[in-house]
Amino acid sequence: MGLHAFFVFDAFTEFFSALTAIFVAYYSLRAYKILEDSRMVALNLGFSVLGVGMLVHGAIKVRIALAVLSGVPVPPARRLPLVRLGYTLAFATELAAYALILLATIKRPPSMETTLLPPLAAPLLEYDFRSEALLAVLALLIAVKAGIGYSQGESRLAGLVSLGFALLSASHFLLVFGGPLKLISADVARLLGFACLLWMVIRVSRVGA
Amino acid sequence: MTARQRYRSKMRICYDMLRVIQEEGGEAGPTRILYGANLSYERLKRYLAELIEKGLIEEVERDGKRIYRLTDSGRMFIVHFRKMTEFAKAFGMIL
Repeated sequence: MGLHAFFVFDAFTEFFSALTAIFVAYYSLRAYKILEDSRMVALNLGFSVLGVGMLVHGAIKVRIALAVLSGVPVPPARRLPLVRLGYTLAFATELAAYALILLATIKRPPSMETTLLPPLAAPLLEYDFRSEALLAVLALLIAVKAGIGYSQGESRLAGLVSLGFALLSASHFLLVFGGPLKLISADVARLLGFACLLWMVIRVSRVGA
Repeated sequence: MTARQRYRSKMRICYDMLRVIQEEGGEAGPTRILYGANLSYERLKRYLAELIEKGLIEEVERDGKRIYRLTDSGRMFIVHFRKMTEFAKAFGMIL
């Protein structure tokens, strides 16, 4: 894959993921209005934060990509302050989002606020090992929780949520352990993960139709 | 009934009442709603008044008996409630 194609694909996956997250957030808000269940607020907040963080991260990626593609000499993108700031923001929002989504889906949440939040005093390097591992574990926990619901036959759609978050977890793990193709593989896994969530919402919208 | 299912939210009770009326063909008497939605008489009166106020059902009199008829808004509420219940269950939430 050429540099141009990679930048376009990377930005596409980021924006697709962001818009899907915002769509799920909108559905959570509708669910809250009808079900009046406070867990839906946490779900709404989680997906809203996730979507906005990805939109900002995507916009920063596009800005850097345009600079690179226009031939402006730039140092390794990973070390640019803007990229580090964007990644730190994306990491913080994803961490908050996954924690909120996990809190919404479990009955008695552990005190994650104190145990999971790492120090964010300095901007992180893009695809930092520890931060990606942390996000991968959180996404995996959400996948397991939804998977339990699916295995107990409570909802067939829980299978899509479980698969979606398993793929999101895989995308974070790929950034930790992946080889040369890790960025593209992680982008593909994330794209498929959000496609599962989008498909779940579309299936929900057809219930009773 | 499991311990988790013992508590029903207000919206769940409204849904159960509307579902009973729908299953009866769109019209049901108070006794049928009371038994079908598993409510006390006091709660039944309170929730019926609320459903009427929200325009989800309407009270009509037939042969000197009170019956409750599902409105279009009530039918829409049932559909939306089912959709959102499926959405919540997809995330492993028990309502």
